[in-house]
Amino acid sequence: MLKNKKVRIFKKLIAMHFQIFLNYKWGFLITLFIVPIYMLVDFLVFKAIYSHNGNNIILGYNLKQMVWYFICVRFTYQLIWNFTDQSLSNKIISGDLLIDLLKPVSVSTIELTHAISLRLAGVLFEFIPGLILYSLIYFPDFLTPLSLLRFLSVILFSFLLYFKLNYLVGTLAFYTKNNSSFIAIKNIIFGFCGGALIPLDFLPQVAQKVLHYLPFEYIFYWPIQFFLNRELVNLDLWLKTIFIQFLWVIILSIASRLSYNSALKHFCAVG
Amino acid sequence: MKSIIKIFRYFIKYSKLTIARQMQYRLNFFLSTTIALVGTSIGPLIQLLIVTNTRGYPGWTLEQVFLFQGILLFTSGFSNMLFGNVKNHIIGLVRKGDLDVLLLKPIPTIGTIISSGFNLEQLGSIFAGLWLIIWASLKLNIVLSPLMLIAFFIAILSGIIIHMAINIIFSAIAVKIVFTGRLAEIFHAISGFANYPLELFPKAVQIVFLFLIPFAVMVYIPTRVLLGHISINIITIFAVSIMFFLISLLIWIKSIRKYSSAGG
Repeated sequence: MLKNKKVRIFKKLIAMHFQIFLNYKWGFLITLFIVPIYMLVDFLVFKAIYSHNGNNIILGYNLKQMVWYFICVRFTYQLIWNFTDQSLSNKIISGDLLIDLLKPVSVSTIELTHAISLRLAGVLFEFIPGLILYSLIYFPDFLTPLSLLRFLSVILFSFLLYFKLNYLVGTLAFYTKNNSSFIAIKNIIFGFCGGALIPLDFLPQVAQKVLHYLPFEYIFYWPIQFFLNRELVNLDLWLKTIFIQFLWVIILSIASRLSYNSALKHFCAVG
Repeated sequence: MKSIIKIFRYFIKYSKLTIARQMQYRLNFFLSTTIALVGTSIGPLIQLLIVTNTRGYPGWTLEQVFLFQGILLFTSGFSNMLFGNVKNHIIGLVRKGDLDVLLLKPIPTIGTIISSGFNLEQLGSIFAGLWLIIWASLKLNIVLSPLMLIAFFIAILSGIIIHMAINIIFSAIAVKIVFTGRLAEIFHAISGFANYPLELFPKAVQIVFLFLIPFAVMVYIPTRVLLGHISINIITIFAVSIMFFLISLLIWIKSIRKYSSAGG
């Protein structure tokens, strides 16, 4: 009974937040104008590099896969991005967290529903039209229904991983109030260590090995590998990736819960 | 002339206030500067990874790419230090309706807006850029002649003028459309062409980014000057930047004339 009630609240919160984000549909749709500009820059730069290299393949990527790698980075952001870290900080500074603490659901659930509805809008206004438009501009002939499905399944866990890590960074705001510096550091680490700035194949072997033990590459790099349908991708790798992502979600859930419980003791709102 | 002096004085006062404000939160300032330093260093690192894993960019050695990156960091850091807050400032003015107050002031409105862009947190980017320029110059055995120095100074100045013009165009659009959600991102995407050597692009694109939307002037031209290619007509480049600046002012004037504030 209680569980049903919680699920109902959860659904209601998602619907409510989604309704708010629907008002910003033009903000989402602008992506469709921005990404083709980035696409053009990436295409021209890598075309020159491939041509100068005298090789159709660089580190296992052909030109089309390389250009689409960076489009996929944007797809990944469109499917996982949320500002839970910033949101927690804002609520702590303004004291609005107090209102959330009085609600019959946890702060983490409220933030999760917010993130889910934000990404639902992202799927509707950015990912789906983007996939169609960019495919018309530069057709991804490597993409199959299976690789797309694998990408989408893995991205679900990427979303959770990204959310949990953001939530963890957000809890730092209980100590510092303004956590913008930590967010900036987080963005640099996520981007570089996750493969959002450059494919991890470009890094030295030692660095790649170290990154295997961290969660970041399971947010960007591996989902993109499934989308690009690269040679190394198979059923075993797909299952292994999901398993590791699942483990990281569990670890980060425990860490963020412990961090939140400990940090909450530092919360003090005026009034 | 009087207006220019007034704007300059306003800029100095506003910048002093910004510095005083940022110094109130010294730890945050220190962290932000360090993050800017680390964040901007990622660019050269990525270039290093690309060049070492491929044969690099046609016609550019690794040291030359680093010189390009150093100038990119330095000019973007310097311009962002001067005008970094302009975009947020104009967005805030338009949203809150505070632009009306500025319109009543006895100095040109756009001058006031542009003068409010100072941001000291870009120091990290400037230092990283300077360090890279010196390192690459030593590696490339660049000997600066007085003529090269003058040409380099004009090229950097042209880049700053273009950066200022971009901010004016941004402000004009922000006033016009009010909805500015991701306007900065569009500008950022277009300026992406300036982050690479022009030779990588087809001739038509090169012409566009040298003369029509002269973003390439900001980094490419100073780099070519340091590499000894003073044959590039630096005076033409300077004239292009002035033209671009004047066009941006025209766009601003046209936009502000149609500004209707909150009352429609």
